[in-house]
Amino acid sequence: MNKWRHREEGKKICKAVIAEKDTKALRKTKNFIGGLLELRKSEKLYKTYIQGTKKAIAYNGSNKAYSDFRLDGTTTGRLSCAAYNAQQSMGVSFHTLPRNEKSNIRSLFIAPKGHAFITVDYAAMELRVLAHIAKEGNMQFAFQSGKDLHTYTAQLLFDKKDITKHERQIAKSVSFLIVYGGGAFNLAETMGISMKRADKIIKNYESVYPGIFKFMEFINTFIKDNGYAYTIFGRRRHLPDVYSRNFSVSNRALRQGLNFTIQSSASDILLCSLIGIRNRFRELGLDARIVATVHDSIELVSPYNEVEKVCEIVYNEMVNYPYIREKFNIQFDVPLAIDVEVGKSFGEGTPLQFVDGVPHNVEEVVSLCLP
Amino acid sequence: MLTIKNPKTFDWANMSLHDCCEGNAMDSHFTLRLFNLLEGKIEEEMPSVIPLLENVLSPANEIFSDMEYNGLDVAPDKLDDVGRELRIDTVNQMDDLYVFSEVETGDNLSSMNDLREVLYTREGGFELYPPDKTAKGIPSVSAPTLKIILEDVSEELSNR
Repeated sequence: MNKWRHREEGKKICKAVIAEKDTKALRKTKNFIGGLLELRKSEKLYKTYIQGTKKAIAYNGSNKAYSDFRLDGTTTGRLSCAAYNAQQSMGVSFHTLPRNEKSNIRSLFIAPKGHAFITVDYAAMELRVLAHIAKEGNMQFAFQSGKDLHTYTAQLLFDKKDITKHERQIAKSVSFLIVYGGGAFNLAETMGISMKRADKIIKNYESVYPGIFKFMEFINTFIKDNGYAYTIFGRRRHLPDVYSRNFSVSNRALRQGLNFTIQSSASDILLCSLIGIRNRFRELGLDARIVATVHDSIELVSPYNEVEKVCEIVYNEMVNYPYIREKFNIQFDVPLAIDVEVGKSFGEGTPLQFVDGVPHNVEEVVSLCLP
Repeated sequence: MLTIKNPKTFDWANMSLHDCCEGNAMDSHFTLRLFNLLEGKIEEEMPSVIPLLENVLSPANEIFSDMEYNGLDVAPDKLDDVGRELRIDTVNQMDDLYVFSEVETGDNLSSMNDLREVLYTREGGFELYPPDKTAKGIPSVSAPTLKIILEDVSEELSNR
């Protein structure tokens, strides 16, 4: 095999070798490597969560796993979480717990005896933040009128009322891709559509949500002028790479700045909700407590008789955000929404319905938690 | 003063109370000194960060330490069930890979050396070119490298 001197040279030769292969061989290669990556993922899940948790409970001498939550673990301002590594692992990182796997790994973590496990997830949080800060009227309208954003986007993108699942998925992908700096190639790759079609969809997206593109332009200019990005909560991320002469490096800094503006704001909203919820629990002397946060969700355990009150508090603090209004004087242009599940364990809950901020089917969901 | 050379091998569970108190006291002492030092600088250069620090980061710290202290309960019986399901998945995924004619029965796909042969060096294997190498200069078969190949293959296929 030839030796290469630089990483880029290796990549270049790799591409050339791939280009020489016939289509059948390439399909085979794609399937093999795809399968290999899936296998590695499963092996990692087993090692991290099954072996890791077994090790943790053996080390702790109880059926408990502990985690190290880090407020400063990421440059984007998002929270991170890791397993403690003191001699032996005391626990696992809850932040990488997969959601929709065939084997429900989340269900390993349960509520203590006499308690229910409550999972509260902010719905489409980052896109709501984007609609607010970009002042994108069309997107704000979708959220304000309670429409399903991705179906609504697909209706506008494809200019028709009846939308297929695939079209909705395309609309969803393009929304996230645009926000995180992806382009036509990524869309074509993710959705398995032609480059030409992907290109057209992205152009349509620009005409559907022009505010987002104007906002991106504004952020890019601001970062280039000041060397940093900022959020609605006053958090800053310095991006000195924006001044690099290397186009790909400066471009990456711009993408990071845009991501930061949205992700960090979403993360701070969640933190404010955590504080608001904890304060209310203290005021009312409740025994319920917050046990974890995973991305845009908060996990709590509550005695059965407190579930209704806890869910009311959680709804008010997360949807009406009194803490944010009081401390930061922020009023969002779009409503915030949450999905609440109550069950015996993390990942095995029954959805809780709310009517005017009051939980509707508490008795029913709590009865499912009883032993 | 206690000095820990390797936190991974240190016996934290049997650390003396004196060392523990001293370590925590010094941690608090230096954190406070650092805070006093930086506070003025932050107020001067980034005043917008102060409300975030006072209203979000400081109170959130207390919640996080409670979460860390209390931990999460684990269902040990489920650990075995879910573990078994995951193992079956892994075995099935592994079996699917041995269907490829480029892989020989004697190959161990968890072995980096065997995988290098299957992907790069063996005649009758996939005969690819490694886009990246390890720190030791050996062709890489790490997940990021495999993803580079996968992206290039997908790009080539979509262009055809």
